[in-house]
Amino acid sequence: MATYDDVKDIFVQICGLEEGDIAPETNMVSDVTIDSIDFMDATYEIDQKFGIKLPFEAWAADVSDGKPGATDQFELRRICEEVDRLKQLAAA
Amino acid sequence: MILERVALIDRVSSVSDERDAITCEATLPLESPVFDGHFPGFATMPGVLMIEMMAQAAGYLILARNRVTAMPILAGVDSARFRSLARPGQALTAQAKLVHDGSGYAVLDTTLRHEGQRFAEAQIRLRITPFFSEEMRGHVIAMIATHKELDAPAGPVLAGAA
Repeated sequence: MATYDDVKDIFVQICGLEEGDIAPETNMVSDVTIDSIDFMDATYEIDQKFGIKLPFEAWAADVSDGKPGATDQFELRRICEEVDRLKQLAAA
Repeated sequence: MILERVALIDRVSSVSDERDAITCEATLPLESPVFDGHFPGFATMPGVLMIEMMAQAAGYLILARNRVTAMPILAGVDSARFRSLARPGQALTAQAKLVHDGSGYAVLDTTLRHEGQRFAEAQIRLRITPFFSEEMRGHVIAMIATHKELDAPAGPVLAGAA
């Protein structure tokens, strides 16, 4: 849960959300109101905190292309899973 | 409102081998409509244009890195400081150093100097987005082509980026 707590805190602080606004299943694009600049700023904080590069550009392209399930990648739980995967890659 | 053509880089003097740093030069004109109003009797470069010059240097670096396949757009300015006034005729050097190469964005530390003296600095955040039109991309390609130091021949626009 450490990754989840850290990522949630970043979204809360950067995007002006309330703690109760988000949960693991919250989709950070469709379930809450975050503009693209706040999203970019949150991404930067996540990248910096974990020493990774989250592939949000590719995820956004998948959504634009209408790829099935593409929007699911923006669920907070999925974002955290990707953070953990990239952390492991970076540490390897 | 009178908006002049905002071309603030005269030349690119160097790009690092790793393409993570750039140095650009420009000389402030002796006369400009901007100076007519900013200010009568004491012309100075507006601080917002100092930011713009640093942002353009940062943008050139991103265009060199991505071979003009996507457009850097100013998305954030942090920790900006203006330490000296820039006056007509002064030669300015804008430098940008990549701090973080994110997915769809980049963060760069930038400075603006005159004869080695630091006039301004800021951390610039650029969103990197598909070109809004082919005409826009054509204009940027033509502009970049005049700066041979960038060595940034235009590449193909990648699927999903157009």
